[in-house]
Amino acid sequence: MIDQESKFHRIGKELPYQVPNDFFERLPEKTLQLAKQRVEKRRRSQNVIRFFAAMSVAAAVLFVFLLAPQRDLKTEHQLVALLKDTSTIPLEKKSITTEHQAGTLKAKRTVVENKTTAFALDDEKVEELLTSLSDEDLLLLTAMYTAEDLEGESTPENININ
Amino acid sequence: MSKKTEAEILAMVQDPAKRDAGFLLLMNTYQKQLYWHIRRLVLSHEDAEDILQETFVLVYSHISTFKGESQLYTWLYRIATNECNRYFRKKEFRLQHEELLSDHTSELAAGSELENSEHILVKFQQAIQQLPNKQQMVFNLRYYDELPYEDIAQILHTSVGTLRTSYHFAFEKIKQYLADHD
Repeated sequence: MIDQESKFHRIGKELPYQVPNDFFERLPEKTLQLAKQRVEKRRRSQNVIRFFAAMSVAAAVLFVFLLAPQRDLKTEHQLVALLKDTSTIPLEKKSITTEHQAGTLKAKRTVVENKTTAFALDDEKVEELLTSLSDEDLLLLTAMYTAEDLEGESTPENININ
Repeated sequence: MSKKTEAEILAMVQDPAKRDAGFLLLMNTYQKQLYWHIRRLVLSHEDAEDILQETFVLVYSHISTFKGESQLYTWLYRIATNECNRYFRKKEFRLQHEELLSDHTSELAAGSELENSEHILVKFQQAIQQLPNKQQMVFNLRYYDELPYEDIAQILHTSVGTLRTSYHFAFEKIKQYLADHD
């Protein structure tokens, strides 16, 4: 091992290769120019890429803006169609309307029932009154009623018993 | 190259106003070391020149990314080594390598004007060229450039232990080759 190492030392570190004259003097300036060209070229291609990227984004935005009104119009048409078609009104609204209608009907029925009761009470009084009248009084009353009928429409409330 | 000088060169290259001057200084400082590192691997001067130029062009455009975590020269060696590996892959180097080596070393050996010492140099180079790529790199960086194993580990992305083993194997193979061709 030591012999071989000493043999290596004898060989030394020289190389059997040659280099052209002034190679190391010329190389730095030549390489600097090449590096600058390469950087400039890369910058230009990056600018081109950025330009096309910006154009693509702009085109995409424009495309979306152009399509957006059409989409709104479509939505509006759909909404109108929905409003016209009552069968498609949501169930919640329907139930609210039904409840409202039911409430109104109930109120109306109460009024009618009250009125009917009032009429019923009035009829009883009238019947009592009629039974207490004599035949002559009845004939006179009938004659008066017929005469008033000719003058205008009368209601049971308008009859003046006295 | 002292650490201070490295720092000065770096400061110049990273300063836009002094960038070109700094780059020329950097090239003048490291170009010979890197040229011989590349030349020993690819043999041809033209290829070595192309790879060296490409290495420095990469350094020029990526110097701003150098954070100073390793020494500047190990970073330069790493770029140069990567470029050599790229060149090997691109040119299917192993296939052509045998022919190139054969042509080159035969040409050197056939020179009638070669002295005995030069014959030894050629034989020594032939012995190194028999090694696998990785072993060649380890041997060259250790033997010719006298780099510490720690720095070679950074350049080749390998552990120090693996490098020591690799260098030992390379040394033994060269020794054997020289003994066989004495």
